[in-house]
Amino acid sequence: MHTSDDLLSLTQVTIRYGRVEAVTDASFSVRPGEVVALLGANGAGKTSLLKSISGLVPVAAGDIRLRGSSILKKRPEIVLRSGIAHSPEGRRVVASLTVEENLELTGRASRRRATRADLLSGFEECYELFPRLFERRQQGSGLLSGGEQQMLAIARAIMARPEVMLLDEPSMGLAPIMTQSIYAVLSKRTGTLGEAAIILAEQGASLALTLADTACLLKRGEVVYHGPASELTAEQTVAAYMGTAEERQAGSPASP
Amino acid sequence: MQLLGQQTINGIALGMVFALFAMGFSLVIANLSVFHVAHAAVFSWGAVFAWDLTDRFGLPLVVALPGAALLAGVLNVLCYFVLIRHLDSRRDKELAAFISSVGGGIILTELISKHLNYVTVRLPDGLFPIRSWRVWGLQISSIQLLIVGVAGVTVVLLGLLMTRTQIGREVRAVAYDRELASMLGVGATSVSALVFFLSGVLAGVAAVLIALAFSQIDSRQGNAYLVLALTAMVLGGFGSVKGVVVGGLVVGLASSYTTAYLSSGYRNVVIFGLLMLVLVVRPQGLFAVPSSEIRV
Repeated sequence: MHTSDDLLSLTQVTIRYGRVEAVTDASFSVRPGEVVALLGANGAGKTSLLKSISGLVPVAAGDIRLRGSSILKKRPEIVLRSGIAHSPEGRRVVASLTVEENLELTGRASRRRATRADLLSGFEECYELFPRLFERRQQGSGLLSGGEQQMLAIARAIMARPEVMLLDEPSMGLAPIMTQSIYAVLSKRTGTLGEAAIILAEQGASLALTLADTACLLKRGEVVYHGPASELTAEQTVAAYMGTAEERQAGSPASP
Repeated sequence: MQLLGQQTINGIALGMVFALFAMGFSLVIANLSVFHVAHAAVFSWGAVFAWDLTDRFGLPLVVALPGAALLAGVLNVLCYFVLIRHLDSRRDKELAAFISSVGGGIILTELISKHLNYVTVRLPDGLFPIRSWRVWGLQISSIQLLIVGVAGVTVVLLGLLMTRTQIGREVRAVAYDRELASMLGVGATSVSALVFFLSGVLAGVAAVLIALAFSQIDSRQGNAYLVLALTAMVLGGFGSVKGVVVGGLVVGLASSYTTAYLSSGYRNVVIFGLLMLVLVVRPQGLFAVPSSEIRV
């Protein structure tokens, strides 16, 4: 499965929570700098897959390789230090720290030899992308608005200077205008956002597809499409979210 | 009036020690939600280490105080790895860790009894020059100054460590959300080990100060202070350094006033009565921090 120009590859990954199989035999790969839209309905397994990549949930079967070497069973902080930064869903920020402390925390924890200059250039990059964060850098991050917390969650991942960024539903629960402005930043693709490969998990397919080179469509834990984003048809997407036409007519979209 | 002033000074010195002890305890609660009861035994060991270092090895206090504190810190890290760390995967880990800590505490206490040959010991005379001064008719002893000075410096250093350094940010991030912290590059296990170390150091410092003030060391000393320190913690409002310090001072003052004006027999009645009263009026404690912003 792994070819030499792949940066990250997942091979037949299966994830179980007790008896429930959340992801079954999922395989896909990411090339350097590529943007992959990881699409699927609520519960399709997007978050589980991202968590398995960063070592937060165990993989029952299969393999995950970064630059050819397996990262299975590595602890999350080690996965981060080897180049994969995860911005979790629900814009989780460390509310007891200020905005800048959140950034500094990751900037230092992700690279043990981060210098003051590394840190400052990281701040600069984040504040240039998200001027709002600069205005609020001394504020407790628990006091930020939802959109600002999402900006912080993305900026924090940038501080780690990753090769792969995992963005889990950056649009979740945000006002449309806020989602627009976050996507406007993501689409700039300058600096770290330009160099890193991005796996963008979203329920809303259309916005994610405007950014993506490749699409990976999940349906109940299985990859039903993996290929160029431009070739993913509306029919396929609808089928993954709502069931196929036959399934819908049968009136049982939920049955496997 | 003079008695009141005198008891205030005594109460403040005592309260600072409660605050040190309580702060270490609450650091562990914030980090792991574990009620680490063996903390009391670590405190007792802190005093015993000081006795070993001074009475047996003849070291001066400037070496023995930090030495005993460091040893107590190391002992507490051992407690973490032996009693608590491996319970992480259990669903009822907080309860399991509590029971494990109770057991560990009992064993550590018994080990002290054996180590001291079942007698009460005291730090060597002349370890710290005891003087006292009269200021506006009040008696202030060199030991009280030492307690307030050392405890004050320790609290300030801890505050700086927590707010100004990467270590402090990591400790606070793990206290806030362990899983999130690991996604941000923070090794939660090493942070927990560090928290247990700091907490043990605080207990050790408190124990040496108490041993100097009351010149008695026995195996169960820590248990009495545990309950008072917990009271200080709950009174002050869990999760804030300021709250723990104020809570410690309130308990220290209540204890010293009761001893002076009523009788030492009423001490616990007054302290716990005060606790109930505060909790009825202000259930969140004097300086509560919203649970989303617990800093310690």
